[in-house]
Amino acid sequence: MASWTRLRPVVPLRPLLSPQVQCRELRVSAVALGSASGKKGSSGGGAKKATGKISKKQYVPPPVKRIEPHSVLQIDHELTRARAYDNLPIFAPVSLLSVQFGIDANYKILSQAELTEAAVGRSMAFPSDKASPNQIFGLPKNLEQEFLHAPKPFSIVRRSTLDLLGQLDGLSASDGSSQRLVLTGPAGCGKSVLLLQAANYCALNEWIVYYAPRAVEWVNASTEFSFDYRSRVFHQYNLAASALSRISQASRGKLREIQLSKDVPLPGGKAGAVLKKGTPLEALVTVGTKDPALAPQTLVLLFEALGEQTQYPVLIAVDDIQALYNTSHYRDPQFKLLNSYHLSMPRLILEYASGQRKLSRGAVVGAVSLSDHRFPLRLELHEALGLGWAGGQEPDAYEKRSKSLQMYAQGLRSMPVPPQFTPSEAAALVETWFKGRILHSGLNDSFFHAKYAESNGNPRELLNRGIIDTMTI
Amino acid sequence: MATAQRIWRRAYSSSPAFVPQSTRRESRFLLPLVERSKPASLSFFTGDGPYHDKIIALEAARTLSQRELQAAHVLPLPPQLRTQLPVSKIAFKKREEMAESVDQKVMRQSHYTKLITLLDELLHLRAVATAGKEVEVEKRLTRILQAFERKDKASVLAARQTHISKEERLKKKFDEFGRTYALGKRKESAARVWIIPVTKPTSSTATSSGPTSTDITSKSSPENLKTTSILINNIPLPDYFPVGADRERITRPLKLAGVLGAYNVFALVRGGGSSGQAAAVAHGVSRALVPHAPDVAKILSKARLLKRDPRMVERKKTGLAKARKAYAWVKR
Repeated sequence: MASWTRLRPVVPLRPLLSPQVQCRELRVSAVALGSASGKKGSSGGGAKKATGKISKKQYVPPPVKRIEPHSVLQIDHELTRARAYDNLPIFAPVSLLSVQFGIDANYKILSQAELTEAAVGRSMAFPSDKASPNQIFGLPKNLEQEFLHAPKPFSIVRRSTLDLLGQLDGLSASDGSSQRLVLTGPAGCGKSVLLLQAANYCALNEWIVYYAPRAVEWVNASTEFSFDYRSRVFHQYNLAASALSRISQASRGKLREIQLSKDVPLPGGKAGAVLKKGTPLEALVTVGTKDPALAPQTLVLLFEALGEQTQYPVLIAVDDIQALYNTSHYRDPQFKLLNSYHLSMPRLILEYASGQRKLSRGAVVGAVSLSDHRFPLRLELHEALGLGWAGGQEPDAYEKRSKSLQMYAQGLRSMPVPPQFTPSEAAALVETWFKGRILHSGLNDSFFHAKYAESNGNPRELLNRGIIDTMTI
Repeated sequence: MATAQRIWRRAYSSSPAFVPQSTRRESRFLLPLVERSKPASLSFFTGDGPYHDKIIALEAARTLSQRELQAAHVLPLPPQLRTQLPVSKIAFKKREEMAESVDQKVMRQSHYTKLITLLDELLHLRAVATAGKEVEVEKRLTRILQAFERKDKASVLAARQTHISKEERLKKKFDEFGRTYALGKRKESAARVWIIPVTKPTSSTATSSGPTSTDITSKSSPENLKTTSILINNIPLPDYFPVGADRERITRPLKLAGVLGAYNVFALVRGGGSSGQAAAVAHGVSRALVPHAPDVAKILSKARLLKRDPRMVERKKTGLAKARKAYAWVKR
């Protein structure tokens, strides 16, 4: 078993005397000797030399050096120096701010060159620049909580990461092919993280990425909606407007390069008003962001245009995709609950997921979440993905299946995520947490073994119950 | 209501007078009085006549022998002799055999226990009589005890003589697959625990080489690491016990013994609540671990893991609201 070495911050030895004390001594000596003392202070705090000049007329005491606190660190060190005794070593607690997380070697960003077999079982950081999917689209709720503690959001590269990203690489290489994948697995096995890895990887590899971290918010009646008579769906214009602006930001100017391949009717324009062929897609996006009421229609047109072009591959990544296959919490004027496919945002994604709308080059990847009991994995999606039944849980023949949902779920391919971390992956996770000095306690073999056994290798259980709940942070 | 005819009732009996049969002149000769057969022993009315007769007889023998030994100043024994009495070689009948001797099909365990206790006392008195050279008492007691000895006592005594080594005794605890089994209990929960040594390392990626450029020295990658997997009622540990404290309770004996990763645990538990079940499994794991790692038994017992926690729910008492809680005191 690997031996864990505990990294301690190197505490430099501080001199016993503070500059203030030195200053006082200088004054005394100046008075006694009647001349300026040449004693030099050996402190590292940058104390000034006392100017103890005595004139014949008047004794001018040297200016007392005022310590201007320019940082919290300075204050701490000065105080501890003043309290030091002669023979005792100085207790100078180092502020966590001053600790250098000198482990940048580990926090490598996911990139194509890095993703080899050797990368499996390593921790890699997510990009933190302003145009990365994490910053623009946000994160799922549970991952946001986890990343709060870590100095940098990171994830473990697993075998399933290589599989998924390899498939996406294959798609980007060839034209005219697309995939519709759904990541499945038990609760806490790493589906959301894998999807996040895919979104970041594609963004780095010049894909146009649309990442929806919380599809639950599209159906839980948290945003405004209004019925549109022309399309006969309920438009969620705020969601559509934010989606448009985010896609534009995340694309890093690609939408300016891509041009419309045909005339497109101008949303909100008069009859016959069109956006001409050759107009950059950015112009289309501007229409929707300026007037949110036009955003749902604009979003559909944008996606159509992106689906037609083959210049850049397109990734539609949706977490909590099972929420789109449930009845929403919205109610119509008759107080009846709306189906999800009667809302504009879910409808758009469902049509891409079922293949009714196509992407010429790209992929639709979804991840199922088993955390929310209000939006469970429905029978239609379960059967479409071909997931097996545990003993005694098979539905009987009289169980109702919605034909519409079956239609929207057809053609989806399930990609199971392994339910357990391998020991090397678990070791990488635990090691990164301890090395990042997030925790005060040291790492040892029995802790790792015990937590691995208690969590049965499940990533979420290992992190939340095994590390965060037990160790002091 | 129709007017009914007046019903005339008579005030006298028209049947012949009753005369008891025994007083009739003829019956005195035709039906002599028969004595009802009384049972041989009054114990008949207990329902277990022969058993109680035996108990009475043995208790009488015990009292008589004690009196005689006391009269001979053999009893009470001086303190130094109490531990030095020779161990008698005797094998009493088993419960099934004993039942035949009291004309029963099945003898109750409580009856058997009482009988054996009494016989042990007589055995002790016989040893005292032998030591004190009271020959008559010794003969009488030997005669009594012989009736209760096993038919195959010779082979049984011979088997008791053979010394079973510690290794052989330890070997008996393992089954053909090298598993040990133990029962653990806590409050109302009972857990049956099997512990199996891990043979194969946890399946990991075949070709990956693990962490390469890390700051810490990692000469051996955890590829061939063996890990402990725990199944409770055929459900993985984190799914069965969502509370972290319960999980830690179960892994604690393995942690203390330093055998995490060496054994797999399979437990069937029922009864009680979640924490009780967790503690029962921990108790069972500790007890099942001892044959695998005998040198660790001391550590586990110091940690009070081998002891069955005797604390149970205290009963409610009359006059109190609960076990300890009293009703509000009222001055008047």
